[in-house]
Amino acid sequence: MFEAFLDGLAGMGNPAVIGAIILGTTLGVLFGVIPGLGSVIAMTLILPFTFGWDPIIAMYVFAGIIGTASTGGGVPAILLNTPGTIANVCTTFDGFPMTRRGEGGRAIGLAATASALGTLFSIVVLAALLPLAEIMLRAFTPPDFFWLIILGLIAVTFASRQNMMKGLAAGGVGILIALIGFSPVFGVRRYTLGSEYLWDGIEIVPLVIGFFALSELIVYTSRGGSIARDASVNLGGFRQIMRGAVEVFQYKAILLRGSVIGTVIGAIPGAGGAVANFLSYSTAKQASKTPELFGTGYAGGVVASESSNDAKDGGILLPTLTFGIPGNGEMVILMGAFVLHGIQPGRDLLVNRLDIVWAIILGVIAAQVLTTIIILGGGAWLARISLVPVKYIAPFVAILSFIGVYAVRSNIWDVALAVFAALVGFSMRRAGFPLITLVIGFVLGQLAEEKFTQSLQISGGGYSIFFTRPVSIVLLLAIFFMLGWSMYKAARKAPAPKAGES
Amino acid sequence: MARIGKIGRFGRLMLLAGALAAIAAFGVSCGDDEPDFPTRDVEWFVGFGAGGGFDTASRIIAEKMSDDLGVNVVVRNIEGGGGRRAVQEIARSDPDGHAISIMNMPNQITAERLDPEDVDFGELSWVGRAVIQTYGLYTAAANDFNTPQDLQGMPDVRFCLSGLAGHSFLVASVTTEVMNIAWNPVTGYRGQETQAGLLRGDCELALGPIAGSTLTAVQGPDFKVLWMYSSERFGPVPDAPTVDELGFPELGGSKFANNGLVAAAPGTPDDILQILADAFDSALQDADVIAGINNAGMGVDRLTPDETAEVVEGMDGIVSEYIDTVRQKSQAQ
Repeated sequence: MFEAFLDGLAGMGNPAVIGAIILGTTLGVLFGVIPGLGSVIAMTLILPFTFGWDPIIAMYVFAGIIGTASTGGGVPAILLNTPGTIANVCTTFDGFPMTRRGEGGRAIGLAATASALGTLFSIVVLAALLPLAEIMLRAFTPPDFFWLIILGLIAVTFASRQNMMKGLAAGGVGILIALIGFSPVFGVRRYTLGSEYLWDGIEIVPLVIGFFALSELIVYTSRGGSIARDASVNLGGFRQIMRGAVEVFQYKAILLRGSVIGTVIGAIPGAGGAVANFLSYSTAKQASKTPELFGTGYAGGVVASESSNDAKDGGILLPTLTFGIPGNGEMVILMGAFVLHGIQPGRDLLVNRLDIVWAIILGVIAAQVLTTIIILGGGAWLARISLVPVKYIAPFVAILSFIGVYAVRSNIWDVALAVFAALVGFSMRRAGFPLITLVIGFVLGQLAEEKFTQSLQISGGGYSIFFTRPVSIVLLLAIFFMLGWSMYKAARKAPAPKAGES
Repeated sequence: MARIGKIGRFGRLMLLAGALAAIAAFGVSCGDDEPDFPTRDVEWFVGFGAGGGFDTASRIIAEKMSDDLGVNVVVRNIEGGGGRRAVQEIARSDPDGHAISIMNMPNQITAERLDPEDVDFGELSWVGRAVIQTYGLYTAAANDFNTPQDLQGMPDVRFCLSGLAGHSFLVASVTTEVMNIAWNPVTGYRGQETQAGLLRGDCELALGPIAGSTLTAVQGPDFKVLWMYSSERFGPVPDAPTVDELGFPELGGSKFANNGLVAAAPGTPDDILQILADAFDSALQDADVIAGINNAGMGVDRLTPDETAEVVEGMDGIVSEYIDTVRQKSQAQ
């Protein structure tokens, strides 16, 4: 294995490999920065062109895209409150308030460095865990997965603690929205109102773009001025970006936790970067001594989000390379590339084609380093976007968002949905309902239903399956701990009753 | 020049007759002309996401067809409803040949029967068969059962399936009825999640096309194929017996194979359909196309438009025969 690693390292001097990494990185950053597009579309578009290429070169291109899209996606999340990919949603919570304070450059520095460190952490873990992959995959059964989702839902609900009832209501609505569409589990259509568009339920990309990007545009357009409230604020240029890059190390615990969560969640097929992103952010907030700072432009919030969404890259490659089990859309396309190039994932890949394995691992690392340099170097320029008057930016972001929404499925109704979501999101903001709780309810609700049903089908209808497996018990204990800890903290914060009060 | 003006009556008649003959000949030759097709890019709908088997095959074939047709054949993924959105799209397209779609059959017929959407598969203009994938039943290598008889002795065998409306559910329902096996579905397993489910013990059996990454998996040491739904041994997995060999020929042939059939909109004129079919057939004879499809774990077994329509009719008959069994099991869940 070490020999193959050295061969791979030596091969990186090959001009074709360098070109492949640059191509993959460029595509990844470009598709990551444009809201709604992301790595899956970039990989899909390049896939047919790689037919006939040397498989190693093709893998470097794919690795370049995998390693960079969510890093690139952090930039519009910070500067425009528009997550470039779904896994960048939590970056908007603190990154954008920082931009409004005129600290967009600092936030970019924080995000780029946290992303790079998260990726490096997960890739090292991937290399170390490859021999143990089978044990991990067998450990997570459907009931365990169900409890993991419940843990995520509870964590997010507590994340909106300042408005818990509204948070719960929004989360419940999110779960209900997730039930719309054809249920492959039961083979029936639910709440589709006779519309073919709703067969597959509500698409997440238009929903998220509408909620987070377009509704924000409505707010800013009605307010005028620039995104950074004080247009004369100096974003600090390169010095401020480097300040952010160095500052990451002040948040070691958040960085490590985000990297671990990203890696572990990434390794669980189906969970994906968005789940890792939300879980990392809410857990960081939960564990913080100053949770009230989260959502106000807190640097730790950016670190929590960006370290996890990139750390998922290493984790998600684990089941793909070892079992050929793709955990998300990116990995499905990578599997498609394997098939196209006659590569067989699994034991054959790990024994006979270690050159491919290392091409992917080294490609992700090289692309991440390159992206970090691009973003740190170009961040000062990118950060100036927030000083441009909104009247110039708004049409650009709107068009970009609509292109992104349309490009995913070439369905004009997705654009209409994004507009509808923008109006609903705007109204919810004004009424004080947390949008993010709705979205996480939506993301996790469907998975929770599927895993719950699977568990009962496996046990033949017996509920004991949820309480007898070791991983389930550990997760249940974690849930109880989280609930208990939150209640304890709430009780400590509650004012002591005055004398005479019952 | 003056001589030209002095043509006699006979000469004028001859000129008139010649002109009429020329017009007639021109008219006839216009009637024999190839139809004005294609006049723009041809769209190829795929009802599934990019990267899957049908998508890969479509992109390989479309590229070669582009050369023959002289326009781009553009693959467009119209995901939704397990491939049904693409079927709807082609059923509603203009019958001008500029849109075609690959569809997984007989899966789409089963879905239509269980949840009708007024698609008449007999009305579609069939171009041909792109790929064929033979179904097989497999399990984790660690399991100690191998034959239908072993399974008959078990209380409730669990099948990892995608859902209660797909072709795999139909094949599982029919198999267990014919072989007298007590069973239960465990749903929500798509793609290679199925293999993880088998290894974890979520279920004992899985079935589906033995192609792509599933083929790779069953050729490895972690899984074994118990039988193939064919009458002849399946080349890539030669040790697996056929259902015919096990004494269940009613499940054999290619009845339960997964076919990637290509159709144009209902009412597409025959001459346009023929141009599409010729380009399609020519692509399927190209060595690179065949190699690409085989690399993706699928087979090429060409059919003419008429033969394809007959295959669809046969599939319709099989689904009709077993749809009540499927419905009963589905409702029992």
